[in-house]
Amino acid sequence: MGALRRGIAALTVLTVISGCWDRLEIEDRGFVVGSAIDQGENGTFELTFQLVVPSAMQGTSAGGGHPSAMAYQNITSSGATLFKAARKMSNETSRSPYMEHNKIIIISEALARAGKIQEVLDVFIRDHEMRRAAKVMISAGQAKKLLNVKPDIETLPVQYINSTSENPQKSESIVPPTTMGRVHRFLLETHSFAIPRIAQTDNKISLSGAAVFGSDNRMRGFLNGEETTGKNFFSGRVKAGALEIELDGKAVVYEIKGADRTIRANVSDPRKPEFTVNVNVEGNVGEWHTDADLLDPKVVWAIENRVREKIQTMMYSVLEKLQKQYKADAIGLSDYLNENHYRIWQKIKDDWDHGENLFSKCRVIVRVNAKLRIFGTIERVQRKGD
Amino acid sequence: MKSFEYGDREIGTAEVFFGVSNMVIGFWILTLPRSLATITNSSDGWMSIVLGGGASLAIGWLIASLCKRFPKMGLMEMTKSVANRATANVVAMLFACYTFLFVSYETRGLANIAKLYLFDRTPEEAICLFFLLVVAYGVAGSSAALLRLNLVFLPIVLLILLLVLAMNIPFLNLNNLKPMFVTDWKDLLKGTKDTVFSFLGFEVILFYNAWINRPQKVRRAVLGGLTIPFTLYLLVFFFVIGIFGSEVTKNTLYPTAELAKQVEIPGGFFERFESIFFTIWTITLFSTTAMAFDVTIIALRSLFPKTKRITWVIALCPIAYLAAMQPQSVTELDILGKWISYAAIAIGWGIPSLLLGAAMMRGVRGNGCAS
Repeated sequence: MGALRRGIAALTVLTVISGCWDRLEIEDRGFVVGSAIDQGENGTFELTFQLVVPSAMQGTSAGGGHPSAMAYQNITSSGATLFKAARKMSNETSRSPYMEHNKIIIISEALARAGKIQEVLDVFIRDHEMRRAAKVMISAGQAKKLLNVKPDIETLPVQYINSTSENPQKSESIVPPTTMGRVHRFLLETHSFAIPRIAQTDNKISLSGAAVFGSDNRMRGFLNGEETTGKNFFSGRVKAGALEIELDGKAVVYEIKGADRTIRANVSDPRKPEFTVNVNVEGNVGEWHTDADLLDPKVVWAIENRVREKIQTMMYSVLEKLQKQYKADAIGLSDYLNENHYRIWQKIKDDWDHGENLFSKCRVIVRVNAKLRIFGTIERVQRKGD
Repeated sequence: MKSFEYGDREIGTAEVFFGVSNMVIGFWILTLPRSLATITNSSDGWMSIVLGGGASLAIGWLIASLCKRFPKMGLMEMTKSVANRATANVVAMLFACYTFLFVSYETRGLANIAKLYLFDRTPEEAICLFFLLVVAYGVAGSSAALLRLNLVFLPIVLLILLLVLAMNIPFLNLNNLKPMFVTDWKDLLKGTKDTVFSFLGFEVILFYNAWINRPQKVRRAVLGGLTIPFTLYLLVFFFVIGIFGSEVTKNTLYPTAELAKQVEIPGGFFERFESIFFTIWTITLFSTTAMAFDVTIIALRSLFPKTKRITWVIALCPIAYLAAMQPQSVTELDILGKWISYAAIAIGWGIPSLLLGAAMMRGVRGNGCAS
């Protein structure tokens, strides 16, 4: 009897006290998948969130729901602070924004050039809902337009951008995605850095290129696709890619299968360090428009030479631009000094790419070693001597 | 081999081993990488961990030796046989105060972090209250049962922590660990102090000694139990620096939590892995807090043997709750934590060392001591 009564009491207590303070039904959440930040009028920020509309997402796959409805909704709001702007959105949408699934942050060029990237990212890094894995990109022109690109394959513009940004395995001119965590680090350490650039042409986006930031965290300018390739070779982040070279006036494609780089520095004069960057590239022939004999070692050497020259030219040209025009060491030489010549770095770090700008004056020698390993499954498609 | 039988009040070697580990792993595992990165340069904090860990192993050896010298005796009886009754009372009272404040501190620390990462809108007062209620429930039973619980909890905790680290391997960049050996020895010693703080807590074994059934194995169990947090701290520190770099670690409040946060498991279901991480972290805090509370009550009951255990639990809970509510911000909580740690070094490490010294000089031993 006592046991029964106690059992009933326990059950009553259980039903009464259990509950969840922070309960929020999943249907009531507005899942933000991407955000874009533009410069508004009089120094305000213009924040755009892309929210997923779950019912429309189902409709496209199952055929039910509202097939005509858009799978996403973009809302824009502006304010002197981003936090306030985000809170304002709750006035305008039925579902309050929920940031846990925010995958992409696009910052407009204008804000980046004005040196406001720290102010923009503060709330994103500080808020506990955000993930450090969100990708940061700099838009050429307006940022919020990019969230309106109509993708053909994917359902959401953000999905389209996100998947494209993961393509460095196929392209050498995309900077590997830069996560918010990495940018946080760039901002804290006083050195220059590069963030992927995103641009729009018609209904497509392009991720080739990079935005270079100086050590004052102001954006200095963009690098185009080719220069970004050179920069990627410097940072040793080329995984794959294709180089077009010429042999006897005809085009040959050299497909990069792997690359690595080592840096060595001569710091006998601390104010004038000298760097030697060694790049080793391996690859094969991707396309062959000439009739030269690929089995001839001389032809193979010729190709290897061309590849070497091509990579060297690209690397020197980006080096020239970074040293003379942008005065920003975005190729990681300062990291190398800090990691391997710590004591000397402590002496010169204040004059590296600010102050006296030793970076602009230092000598960098690029050595490339290219190897042609295989040339596809055929030797040629043209008759010899045509 | 008569290790233990369920239902008795004896504590076996395994319980000591797991209890020591679980008591030490607590609040600090979240913040240790940050405090070390702030004091030392680059990845040199590991030397501080080694120094601090070495110091605590030494103290662990001392405390275990004391336990071995006085088998089947709690700290109170030990002090009584080395000095006198009055000293024993003072020592017990000091320990009760320190462990009791520790309970409040851990409760509030848990509430702070749970609010930051898990319950956005639940007031801290409520989180503290519910946590304390669960702790009170745990303490209401016998001490041996509480220690036995560690056998269940610790493997889960270690498994999840190692899983978090393993899933972070792709993000690891060994270049972040360079340059090495660039920190001044003074800074290394300062870092050692912080590491020592994170090893505090295992001195509670002095009270549980009364029920330890195989005194000759205590030393091995305590030292073994300490090596687990020691290795864990080293691993976590290397991973945090290797992934975030020194600068970011300095500026992140709870770097270890961020480590769990950036794990993304494909498939979507476990995308929020940190919720699992926080669950197991709450488990370790529960065992730490419950054991500290248990020791408070053991100490008080040795002073006032007539009062029942449950009376103490009911009387102390509201006070612990009020004490936990006193710090007004994260900064104030940090200051409280620091003072508790100083107290722990003085009370938890200093007193036993003095006792052992005095016991050796006077040649006092416990009854039935073999060696």
